[in-house]
Amino acid sequence: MFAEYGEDAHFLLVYIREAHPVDGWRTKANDRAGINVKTPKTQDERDGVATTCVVDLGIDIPAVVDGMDDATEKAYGAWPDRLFVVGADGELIYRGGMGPRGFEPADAEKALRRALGKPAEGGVVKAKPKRGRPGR
Amino acid sequence: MSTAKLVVGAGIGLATLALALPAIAQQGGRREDRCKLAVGDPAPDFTLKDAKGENETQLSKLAGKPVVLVFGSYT
Repeated sequence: MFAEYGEDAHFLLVYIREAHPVDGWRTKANDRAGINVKTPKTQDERDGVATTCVVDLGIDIPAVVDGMDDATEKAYGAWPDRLFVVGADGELIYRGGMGPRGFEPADAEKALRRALGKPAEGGVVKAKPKRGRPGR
Repeated sequence: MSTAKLVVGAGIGLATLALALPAIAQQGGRREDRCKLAVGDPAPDFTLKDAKGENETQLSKLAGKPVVLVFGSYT
């Protein structure tokens, strides 16, 4: 999406406090994946984990790091992950759901296309498959 | 154009989705949605530095173009 709309819109990753650090809400899935991140105790440590995050996940949009007071995350209620689209006038035009279930890039793209005056069709992000129970 | 580049925040959402769902199930419940913002609200302004602790970005200074904000972490 950044490649498609990067000329017409700003994109910004806001790195916020870890969702599943090994000294917090540790997950077996992260353990199996070899992801062992401790809760950063200082801004320098948080900056370091943010750098690792950006590099390991191949994130190519500009990134900033929330402060240790988590002020930005709290202002948006964004933890553990969430998408927003801010209009050119500074008002929210899309408020995504709480991640991970509510993390829907395709919906954010629709809002962005509306803001840019582009037709609804023609988006580049595939919607996540609907969850459901087979046979029901 | 790869699928990975099409997804805002690259692997963040997908990685978190894949890794967090079992944990949510283990906790046996839903987490409270603490977002009180709604469409039409002014986006809370912030000024944050990059991971090098150098360049500052202030959201309000990006006005004039839409801004896609991707909040997330590594885990």
